[in-house]
Amino acid sequence: MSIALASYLIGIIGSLLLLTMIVILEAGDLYRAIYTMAVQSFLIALAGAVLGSATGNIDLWVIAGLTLAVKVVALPWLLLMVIHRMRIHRKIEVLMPVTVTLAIAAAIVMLTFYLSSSLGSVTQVITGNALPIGISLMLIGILVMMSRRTALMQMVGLFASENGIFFTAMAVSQGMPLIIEIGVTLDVILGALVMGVIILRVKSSIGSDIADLDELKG
Amino acid sequence: MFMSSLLWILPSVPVFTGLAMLLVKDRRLLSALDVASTSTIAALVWAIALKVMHGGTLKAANAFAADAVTVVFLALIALLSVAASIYTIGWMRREVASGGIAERRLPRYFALTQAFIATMLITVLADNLGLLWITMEATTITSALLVGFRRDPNGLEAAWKYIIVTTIGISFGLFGTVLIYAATAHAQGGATHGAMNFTTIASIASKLDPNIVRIGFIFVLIGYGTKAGLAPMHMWLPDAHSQAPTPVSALLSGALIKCALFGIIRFHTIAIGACGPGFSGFLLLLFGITSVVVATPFILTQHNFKRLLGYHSVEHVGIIALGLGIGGPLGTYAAFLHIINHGVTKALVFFVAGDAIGRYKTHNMDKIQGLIRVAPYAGTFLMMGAFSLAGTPPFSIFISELLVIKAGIASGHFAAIAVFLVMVIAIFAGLIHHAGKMAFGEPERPVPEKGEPVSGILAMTVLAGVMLVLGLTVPSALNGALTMAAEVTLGH
Repeated sequence: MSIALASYLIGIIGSLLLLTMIVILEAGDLYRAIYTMAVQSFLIALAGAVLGSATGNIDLWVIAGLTLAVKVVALPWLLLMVIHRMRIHRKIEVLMPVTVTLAIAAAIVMLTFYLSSSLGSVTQVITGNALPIGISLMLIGILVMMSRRTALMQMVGLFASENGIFFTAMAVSQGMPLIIEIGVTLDVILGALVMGVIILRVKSSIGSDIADLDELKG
Repeated sequence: MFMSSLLWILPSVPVFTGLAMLLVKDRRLLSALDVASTSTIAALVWAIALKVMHGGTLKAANAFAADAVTVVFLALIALLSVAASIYTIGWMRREVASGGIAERRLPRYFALTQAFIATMLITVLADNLGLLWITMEATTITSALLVGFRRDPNGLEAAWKYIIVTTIGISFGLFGTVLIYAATAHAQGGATHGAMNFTTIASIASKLDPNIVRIGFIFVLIGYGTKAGLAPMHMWLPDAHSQAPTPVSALLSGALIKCALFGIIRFHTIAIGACGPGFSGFLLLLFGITSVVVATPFILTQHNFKRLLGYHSVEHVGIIALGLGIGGPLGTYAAFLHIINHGVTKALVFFVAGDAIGRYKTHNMDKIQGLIRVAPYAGTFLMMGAFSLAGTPPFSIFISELLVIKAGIASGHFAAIAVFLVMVIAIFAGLIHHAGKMAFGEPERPVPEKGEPVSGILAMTVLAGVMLVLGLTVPSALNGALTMAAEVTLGH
């Protein structure tokens, strides 16, 4: 695959990533958010495969496979299992109206594209628009976390936000060193497990969502 | 060759001790292993420090490196780990007796503590900035389990806030790392070899594109700044540091937030090389003074002993950032000295807090009164620690704060120094007021427990001794290490 074609495909994948992020941001239902996150992670794996065949770097294929196993399968499964164990209602309480979060998301996308257009030559080592899209995904992921008061939705926002970093990291030159990528993924898995344990423990001991606890202040 | 293999032997000591601990059930044996492990760490750190001070940077496996900056952080982690492991002996005995921690969960507690120490050691030994990030996140995961170890709602709430906020926070750090990696690969003409290693990046820092380094540094400062507890990203800190078991609180406040500063310092060096000292220095100054200002009202109005200490850490991380931001050899030196001084003093006061809270069964400072009568040693150390934290001579923090002020005035940062002084005076009054009431007040009700565990007194004496010595003089070995660390940071 030629570099130009890869760059074109990365552009398309990038816009699809943004689209999935908007769906997550506006999701009124936990299942939809989790499935969309899985689709988003699948797009990241696809990007890894595209970049792997364009640069001939085997490591990127490994990273794509790792993303498929961990972020497309394992993490959504973990989140669904937590939902199942908690027997919680599917609706998500939203703290900010949809119009406001959409407007903020649009502003974030425009700002990051403006910012990265001013960066000049370094963007040559990053394929296509991966830099502004990565930053946008990261910031909108945080917006998801801030606009929801559900522990699971905060986790979805966190993982979606991390997808932005993975996307940009893949597109830099020949991707991050494989061993580092594996270490980061390991952290994501362990972190998710610990978060899941904390959520379930609070649910089983006092019967509420951990994100609703607000005892510590001042 | 042997010396550089010390770099990976060092973190494997707590890793293997931790694994072995899972097979041990006896509390005394666990504590003995704990102390043995931390003492071995201290001995190895001593050997590494001597080698680095006389022979220059040590490197191993293209991923680990130790220079003077590393040595300063290693020394702090080693000292506090030893003190915490000694303190844990007596603290844990009472905790188990009072039912705070069930006896069958002890192996897990000790093993997690070892894992926590191991991740901190690797963080400051990492030459590869990706590895630095991975182990920094691993410190969050291990210590979040310790923060929520008691499984009570408050502890779990603190653990949740801690892990979710710092994980999303330091993902900014990873993004910044990726950007610097891209800039280095670009400067090397697309070659990625060594593009993530600090030693490589620092050596070609002047060739990096300053625009992308600026953005990278902002991401890193927000990311690792969250983990360091710099305001306004500090909201999780008082919760986590107050809810954790006391020996862990001491390590969190004394050592872990300094490890996050280690990450910032590495990128500060890169930013100085690529865009001059002005850019990253100004940002550090800004976040530093913000932290000092934001922490002050919370310190003055606080009633919870351990939360007070948490907010106090925000203030002192701010002072360190201020020193780094003022920069120059003196400001940077002062920042490094303050890293040691604050770590030692804060751990000491946390030990006192743990003792007092166990005795009075409350976190409320209004109910903890007359400590000096009930526990003369702890009460005395409380007053010493409080005076040191407040910046009074002849204790160590006075010296480093004075140096920060001196560096600030010499470089013309009058406004920042003026704000800093006002805040320090307000905090002095507040802190001495709180500590005085706790030490000398009239105990409200007859406090059943007298008698102090020897291990606790020993751990506190060691830290108080270091605090006092560093208040009177900076020993030449330490002075050499700090001076070299400042030079490495400034890229000389």
